[in-house]
Amino acid sequence: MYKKIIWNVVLGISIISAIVFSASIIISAKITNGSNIENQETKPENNEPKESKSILSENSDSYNILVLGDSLAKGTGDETGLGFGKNIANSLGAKTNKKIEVNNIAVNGDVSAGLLTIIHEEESLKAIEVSNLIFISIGGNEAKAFQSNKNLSSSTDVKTAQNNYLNNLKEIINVVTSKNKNCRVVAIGLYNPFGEEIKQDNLEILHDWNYKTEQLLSPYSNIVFVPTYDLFKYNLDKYLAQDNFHPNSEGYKAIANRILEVLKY
Amino acid sequence: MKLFRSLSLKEVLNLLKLIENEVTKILLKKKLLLISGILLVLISLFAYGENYKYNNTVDRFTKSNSQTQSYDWQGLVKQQISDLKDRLNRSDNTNFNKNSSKSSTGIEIERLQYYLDNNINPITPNAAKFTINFMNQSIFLFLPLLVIILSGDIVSGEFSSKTIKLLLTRAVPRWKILLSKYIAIIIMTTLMIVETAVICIMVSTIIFHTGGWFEPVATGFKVVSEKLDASNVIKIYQWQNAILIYSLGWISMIAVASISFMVSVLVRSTATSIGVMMASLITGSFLQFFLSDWPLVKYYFAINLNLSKYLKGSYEIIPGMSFNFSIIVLCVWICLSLIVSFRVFTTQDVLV
Repeated sequence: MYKKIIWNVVLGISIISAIVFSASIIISAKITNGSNIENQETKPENNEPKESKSILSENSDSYNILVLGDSLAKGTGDETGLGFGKNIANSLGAKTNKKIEVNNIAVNGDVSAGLLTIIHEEESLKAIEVSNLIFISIGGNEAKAFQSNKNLSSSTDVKTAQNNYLNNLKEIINVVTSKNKNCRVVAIGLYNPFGEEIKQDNLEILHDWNYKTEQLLSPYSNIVFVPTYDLFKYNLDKYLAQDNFHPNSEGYKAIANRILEVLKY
Repeated sequence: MKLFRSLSLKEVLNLLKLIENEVTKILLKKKLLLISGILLVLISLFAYGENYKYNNTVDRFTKSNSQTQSYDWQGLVKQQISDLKDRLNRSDNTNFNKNSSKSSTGIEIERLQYYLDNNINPITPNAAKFTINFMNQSIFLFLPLLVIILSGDIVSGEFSSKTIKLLLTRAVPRWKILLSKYIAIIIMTTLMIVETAVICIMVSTIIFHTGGWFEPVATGFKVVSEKLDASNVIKIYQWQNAILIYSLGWISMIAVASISFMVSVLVRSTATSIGVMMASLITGSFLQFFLSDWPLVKYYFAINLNLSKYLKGSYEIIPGMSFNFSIIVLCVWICLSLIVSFRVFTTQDVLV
């Protein structure tokens, strides 16, 4: 009797689960082959109302900061989530009674070509028009591509990439200055996140990169290039986040302080 | 063929009796109990280890950012969401992100939003994640080994213990005896998969306290010419995902059971049968690493066992392998081993 019950239970469980399993195999076959008709309604409704980016008010008693560029501009790695943009805003806010607004439209992993398309967008152009202070951090991802290469990259490769970058940067600066003549623009230099492990040739590329950028920007009176290489050279342990590439909150604070010193309000 | 002759109700009942007899034999050998024991011990160990690892990570995080008192994952998740939204908005305006990745980005946002809404740290282990992970990790070696323990001696055991004489002298055709044995191991395999799921769910719920069964996940990625194609990505819940993955595990285990059944018919000693199966399974993982350029390798059953990786859209090891391909290869292996076993068993001379 006891065995009979076990047998019935065993048979029941296995028949039910066999049916369930076969059904879900058919479903997974459908999913992997892309014919998900019955799941159409669960397709992500990601067309949620586009967040209208706080288009900054143009009145004179607010001070608008715009942050453009890559992950460094975004503030990736900062546990407090501030990035240097908001750090500066906080310090400035303590000094003036103006309302300070930060608009961060940086994109992680962006390169100069990407930034060029972004600033041609209508929203970005509007944001540039009303900004008093613009931060640009770009080029790090392009320069990094040579660091991760195991074999030494040929100097012509570096040259073409650098020229591309410089042309893009020039275009970006032209767009920004043509849209807004009065704003101050701060370009952030590259630092070396690899410490001693970096190859001498790659270090030279990095320095050259910074130098060429500074040279490009020097004719503009309202643009300033702020180096970060020296900040990070002896402080990598203190300033780098867990990923050993982006700055942490201390690192961003250091960058912000440096920029504040340059701006001298 | 006698085998395909339509079975009358009486014969079906007759066959059921035979199957019951076989299942009872397997149950009496206490193999299922042994397997349950192995599963329970291993799953508990894994779950404990996972929990330990998680606590360690959190510890390290809080220590390294001593200036921020508690480690703020919510900030990180919010930042990730805003990044993804930026990307989504941007791809509306320009075509610089492909349309295909849009739906997967949407699901990713939804997933992160779920973490925020329910106040769950994304790296917290939960029962759903653990249950799915366990299947993903054990589908190509651990579970097949358990299946071999179950089914390796189903026929050869009769030879080893000389009971084959008693079995064949009954007034039942040989193919029926073999069919009942085959169905019995299919039943046992199914039971084992269900048992794995149940033990995983119980142990991980006890250890992690969180279910996470209603967490949305993205599935349906495809790898097309070395690129991830996300155009058909859909959103499902973790519990649906778990059922899908366990069903794929089920079909893989049936393939292993069928092949091991064939081996058990071909060899007359249980030890040899289990040894042959183990060797062929382990060969599979070797082949994957050393001979992945050789096109014939992809027709080997052990390489196609890992079906669940297709749902996640992880990289294909050997070019030309896809979900359909693997399913077809496994089915062909199942059919071939059945044909071989029935042919051999019904025609061979049994000398005891």
